[in-house]
Amino acid sequence: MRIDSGLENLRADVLIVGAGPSGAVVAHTLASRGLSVVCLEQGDWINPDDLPGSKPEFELLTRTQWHWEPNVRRRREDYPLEVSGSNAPVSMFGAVGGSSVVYGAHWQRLMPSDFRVRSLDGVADDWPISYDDLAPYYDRVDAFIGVAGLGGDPAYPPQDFPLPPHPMGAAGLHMGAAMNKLGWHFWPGTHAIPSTAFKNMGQCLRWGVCERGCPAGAKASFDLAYWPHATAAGARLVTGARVSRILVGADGLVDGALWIDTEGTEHRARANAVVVAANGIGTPRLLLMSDDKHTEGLANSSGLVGKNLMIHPNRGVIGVYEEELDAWNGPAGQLLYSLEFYETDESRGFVRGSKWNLMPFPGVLSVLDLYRGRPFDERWGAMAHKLSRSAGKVMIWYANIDDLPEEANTVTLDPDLRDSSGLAAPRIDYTLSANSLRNLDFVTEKMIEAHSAAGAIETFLDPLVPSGHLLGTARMGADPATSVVDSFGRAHDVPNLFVVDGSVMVTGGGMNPTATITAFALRAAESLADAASDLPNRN
Amino acid sequence: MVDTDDVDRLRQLAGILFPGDDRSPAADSVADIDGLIRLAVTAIGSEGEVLRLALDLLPAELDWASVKDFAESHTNEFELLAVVAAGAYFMAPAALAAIGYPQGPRKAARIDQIVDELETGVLDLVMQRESMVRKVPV
Ligand SMILES: Cc1cc2nc3c(=O)[nH]c(=O)nc-3n(C[C@H](O)[C@H](O)[C@H](O)COP(=O)(O)OP(=O)(O)OC[C@H]3O[C@@H](n4cnc5c(N)ncnc54)[C@H](O)[C@@H]3O)c2cc1C
Repeated sequence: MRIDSGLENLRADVLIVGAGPSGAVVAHTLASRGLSVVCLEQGDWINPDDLPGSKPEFELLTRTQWHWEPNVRRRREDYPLEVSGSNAPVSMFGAVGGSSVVYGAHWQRLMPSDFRVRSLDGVADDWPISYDDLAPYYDRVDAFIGVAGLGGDPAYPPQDFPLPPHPMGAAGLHMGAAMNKLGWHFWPGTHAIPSTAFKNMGQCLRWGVCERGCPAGAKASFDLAYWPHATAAGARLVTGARVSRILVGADGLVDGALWIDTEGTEHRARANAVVVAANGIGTPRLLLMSDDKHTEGLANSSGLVGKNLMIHPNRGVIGVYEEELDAWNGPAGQLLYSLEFYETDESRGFVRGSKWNLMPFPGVLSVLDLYRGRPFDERWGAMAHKLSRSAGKVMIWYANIDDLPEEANTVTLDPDLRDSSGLAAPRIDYTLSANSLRNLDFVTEKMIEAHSAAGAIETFLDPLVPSGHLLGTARMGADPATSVVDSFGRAHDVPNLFVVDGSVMVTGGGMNPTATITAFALRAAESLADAASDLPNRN
Repeated sequence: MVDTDDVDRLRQLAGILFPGDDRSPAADSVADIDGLIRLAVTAIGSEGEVLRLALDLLPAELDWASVKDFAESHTNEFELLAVVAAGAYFMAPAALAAIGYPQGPRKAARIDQIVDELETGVLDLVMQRESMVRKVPV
């Protein structure tokens, strides 16, 4: 006999797909406004005891089980990615909290200029909203999750933060002095990591492993920072629930979704509205899987679902120093960030720029690995002991570059590869543009210059780090012919379908995107709540 | 995943790669190295299949010259064995203590550490800069 777990006939005012930061914000906002909310998430809760960062074998665990790339982890909770057509790697994590479980929690707003790239630089498109439209929502999410930072950065419009900044540490101070010599901008890192205990989160213990999950419960990953509040407000979260299709009624409006549990059983959920919060790859994948009448996918009269993928190609330059830099101390996180090269300067031979972050370099194996290219005799034996003493004396600059939208960079459905539920895996086709390649070459040179000014004895290139910034594949705009959703995330073609993740971003800017994604999700959710009485009644 | 013979050989390999010096202990002499090798093998998870193959290819007699030959002729297999050996070694408290790497629980920063840092004046030049915010058309 099958026990009814209440999952057979889920009904809600609003059904959300994906329990990452954007889905969490929408769930909390709508439930707090009295709407009934069900969120379906393919992953599960992560038990903090399972996180690798505080374990002695942590660096070994990150080789497979806690690798950034889902294709290497091969967990049921993730779907595989067909990436043979992509020359830059991507990463994501399927769980309650989504990729924020493993994000670095660098918390950066976009710049006003990022919303006006067409007007300023003559490329891509302007957003249908401005920095000022989003600013109050940035402030509210910051306050809710306890962002730690220092106000007064001349690179930003005025902003302040609810918690004091984290220290820059020995490495940050050392690099800060070098940036001063060069006359380059830097600022102490802004973090979604509490610098003092905040709500249910502890104070950062500086494990330095934020991007493998915080073992101290001291990072605003959204399983901690938002979901407990969302469920307390009445939202229902169903885990192990992979949505295979959004359902469309005879009236052309959505009326719910089909989802598959971990045993492979298919279920149906009904709702007056569906909010897709499955990220810049999972969202177009689901929209493309959701239309059996047309091959183009749901809400895709513009033909832009799955196009214009942006990923912020991410380059690192590692510096090894003679000085003790306490490189094991987090947060990691960003000890510093720099916006010296953020804005367009045409004399550089490309448009747009990059955001840099200085990060610690914890672990001993990662230091030994830097010398992999050396001959055997210069790596092992007495030399291995010598090289291992560089642990603690290494820091890394990373740069996110502002790759612009290109229609040829796409997410489509792979005809062969399947996930553990038998659904088509997404295929990523992404080519670095000439503009991006020039930008990458430029920042590489400049990051090496920063390390030399700081006295590095050696530098190493980390060519392209898997990027978890997944943007642009269901862009917003005022014109249904050139965009998928409006400026509140509502699909032009299907007015009770919403997209609230990074897919909606018209351009990517160079900033780590989650502050923007969650501010947009909050704005979209409030607009949806305001208009809830206009939704069709499917229950 | 690995038997006693395999652990013996991984310990020997670790001893060759990390022979010890005036500050650091030799890998084959640190406390509970066999237990640490087993922990390292478990931690590499699905790479275990490649590890089996690599162990089978490892020369019977292990010394500096034979391991070097192996590293040059079977790079991928060697790298995996080396990472298990190094991973086991750097879980040993004595090996970590010798390079000054912290062990055990971590401590939060002093809440006023940033104040001390700012008092060094490191941020003064940046704070004196004009606004860098690019003007946008309204
Ligand atoms: C290693 C790493 C480091 C990062 N560091 C930073 C950083 O420092 N700062 C920053 O701002 N951003 C960072 N990011 C990016 C950040 O994690 C994302 O921007 C953020 O998580 C996006 O939130 P989201 O809710 O839109 O999507 P996600 O977090 O990706 O959540 C989407 C959720 O939807 C679920 N899902 C997808 N498809 C389905 C389906 N069909 N059915 C059911 N569930 C589904 C997924 O399992 C997932 O849990 C990082 C990302 C990674 C991977």
